[in-house]
Amino acid sequence: MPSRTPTQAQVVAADRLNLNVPAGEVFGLVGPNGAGKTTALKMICGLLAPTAGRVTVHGIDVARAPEAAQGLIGYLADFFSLYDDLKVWEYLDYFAHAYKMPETAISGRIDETIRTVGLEVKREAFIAGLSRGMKQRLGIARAILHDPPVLVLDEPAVGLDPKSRVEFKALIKDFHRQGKTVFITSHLLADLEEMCTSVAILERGRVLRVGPLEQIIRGAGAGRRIRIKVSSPAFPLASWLSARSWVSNVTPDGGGVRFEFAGGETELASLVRALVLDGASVFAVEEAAETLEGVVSRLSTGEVG
Amino acid sequence: MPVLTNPEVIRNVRAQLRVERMAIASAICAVLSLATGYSKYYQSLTFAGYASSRWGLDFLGLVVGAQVAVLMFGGGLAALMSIQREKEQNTFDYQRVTRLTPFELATGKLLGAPALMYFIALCLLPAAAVGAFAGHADLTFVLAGYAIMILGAVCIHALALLLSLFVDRGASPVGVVVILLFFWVSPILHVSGALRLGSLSPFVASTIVTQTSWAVDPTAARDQSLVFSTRSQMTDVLFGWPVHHFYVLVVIYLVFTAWFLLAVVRNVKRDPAVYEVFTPAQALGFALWINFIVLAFFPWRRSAPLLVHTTFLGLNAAVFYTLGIALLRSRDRTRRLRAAGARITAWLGLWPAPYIAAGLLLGGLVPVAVLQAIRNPDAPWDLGLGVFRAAFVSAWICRDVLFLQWMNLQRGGRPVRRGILYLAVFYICAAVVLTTLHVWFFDDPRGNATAAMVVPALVMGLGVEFWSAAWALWLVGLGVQVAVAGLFVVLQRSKLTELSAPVEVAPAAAAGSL
Repeated sequence: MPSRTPTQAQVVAADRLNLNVPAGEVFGLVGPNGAGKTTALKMICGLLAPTAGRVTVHGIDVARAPEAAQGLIGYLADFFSLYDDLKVWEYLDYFAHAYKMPETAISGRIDETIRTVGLEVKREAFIAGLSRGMKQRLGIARAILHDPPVLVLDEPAVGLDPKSRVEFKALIKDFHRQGKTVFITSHLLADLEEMCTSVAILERGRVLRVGPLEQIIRGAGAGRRIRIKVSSPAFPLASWLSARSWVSNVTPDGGGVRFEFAGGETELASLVRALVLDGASVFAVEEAAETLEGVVSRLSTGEVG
Repeated sequence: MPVLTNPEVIRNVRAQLRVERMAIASAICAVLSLATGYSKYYQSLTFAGYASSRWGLDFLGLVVGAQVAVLMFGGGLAALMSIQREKEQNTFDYQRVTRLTPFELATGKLLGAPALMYFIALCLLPAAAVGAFAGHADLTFVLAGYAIMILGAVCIHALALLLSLFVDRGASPVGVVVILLFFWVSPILHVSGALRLGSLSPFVASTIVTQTSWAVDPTAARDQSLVFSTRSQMTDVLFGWPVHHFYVLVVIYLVFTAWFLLAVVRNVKRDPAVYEVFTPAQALGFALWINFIVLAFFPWRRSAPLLVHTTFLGLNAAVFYTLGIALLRSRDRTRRLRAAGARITAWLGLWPAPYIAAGLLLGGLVPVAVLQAIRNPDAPWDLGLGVFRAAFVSAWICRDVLFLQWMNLQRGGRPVRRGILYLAVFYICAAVVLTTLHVWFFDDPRGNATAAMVVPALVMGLGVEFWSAAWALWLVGLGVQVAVAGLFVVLQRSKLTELSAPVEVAPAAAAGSL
């Protein structure tokens, strides 16, 4: 993916992004506000033209054949509104025709999509009367209406209540099972961790890390995150650990210390045994599970572009 | 995709024409029609000398005028708000990512946005029918009037749609509304003072529907009065031939609609950062089309040849100055062109002077050729002077546009506005200094020629006497314009070389495939 340099602010919103996302991935774009996530998604949809480079969707160059590429994409923006003066079914009917779906399939597909997002009772209601969460569901319905193989969802969970968020995550997993490619951004990193198969961490328009989720989380640190607590406060635990091999990044943590351990379970057992023999009263050894949130907070400086 | 199945038209019709709203609009139109119709009829009964059938024609003209007003003002505003409001509400991107082609989206908005106004005009149709029947109106003129009404409204709507597309998100459309109102009510649409051409306003439909004959006024071609006014106001003079105003209006509306629609279609699905109203060739074509209208309907023998030529020079200076500013390329656009493979050739460094020079020379020399062909031996005229003035204006406008293009490649916000400001300050200061130093004497040919080197607009007033007395100095002035233009070409090329250097950005920390 190419660079984009908005003229007025002279800010590089997305700089030399080079991503090749295979079909069927649920691909999360993560980063602070201004990292270039929305810009990247808009370039995928052909809404923004890159200064240099190109975007292809299923082999179709978005700049050269925008309508063909856009027919393959379902898009939901981070901040959006709907046509308040239309009814729910009229709104979907408009987009079904705009996506040039077969006339005979439209009615059935509208009903099916309305069922999928749970808006059956609001089919004949004016959009103006819908709650924010319902409008968000209708936005999702519009994005999936024409059954696109690629979904581009920018902060789709904003405004959804807890129950709807659970349903939404199930919906994304369902898309994954159907083989659809999903690009998704969210500041709810725990949700992304549940849904995504791969992620890219962006900051100031650049990719900090990209790859399968498991690999990103495992590869973020030098090794396991271990926490040890001792009941003897006089024992110089931090300095003792710092002098050992396999150990790095020792930091005080509550009544004990947290550190990264590059060795395996045998080496960890030897370390604990040595610690006990040197007189420390060890009462807790825990391995802290790494999370996407932890990886992002360590990698990202939080700077905006 | 047929118009009636265009999703954007259907969406607008659904949103605007709900049953309750249609019922209210119909009722209001019916009440107004009845009240106005009865008023006109009552006048025919009470005023002596008012022909019994006259009230019908008057009523017809009034109703048609009301329909035009509804379509022009209401429909124009609806078209003006259509894209701008979508941008404000963040719904426009959703339309841009659909499979609708730019043409389908543009025509959908053009015909769909004013849906309610078309319905109101339709509600007034029975009243117009009553007026036509009572006034024994000629059916062909009624149809012609409605054709003008629809074509004129569509033309204005297309212009409004174009303005709507180019209004920035978050910007107030008030300024644009003022511009539109200016077009609707200004003398620009009533050009009979300058051209042998009737009113271009769609309100002329209310006059057409009351006509009784298609015959043109044969005396119109010989009319050299200051204000053009034929007996029926329905005769225009095209290259010396009287033609019915209806046909002229149809062609003008259709061609302008095509130009406006072309600009909308080119841009409606584009990234706003790369909006470009027309390609350079299209922009040149548009400017030449405006020139053609003036050339075709100009009263060539009414004024002195030099005055006629000055009119064309002034028109083209304004048109091509505007065109030049529209064609300017920003740093971002230039970088995109470089990224797309464009090389820094002499052509790129001259941008956009070749188009401006070609258009100005053509627009300046064609009138010279016509004036030479029809010249009156008694009127002061010099072929060499005509050619020189065309060349001088061309060099002057190119000089300024090249300066603005160079400015547009500078860093910082709004460089073109800064460039225009600098130019304005330069011209004002130059005029003040020259006047103070008594260089700029109106009765001194040499002083005039010297002053024109820095204030080239003085060439507009250059006559045969001054030209004969100081032609060498004027040629030096032309050389100065060309030299200054050349200086900005050199500066622009140097800036382009600077822009083509690789950007100093550290490589991305990680990038790759999954």
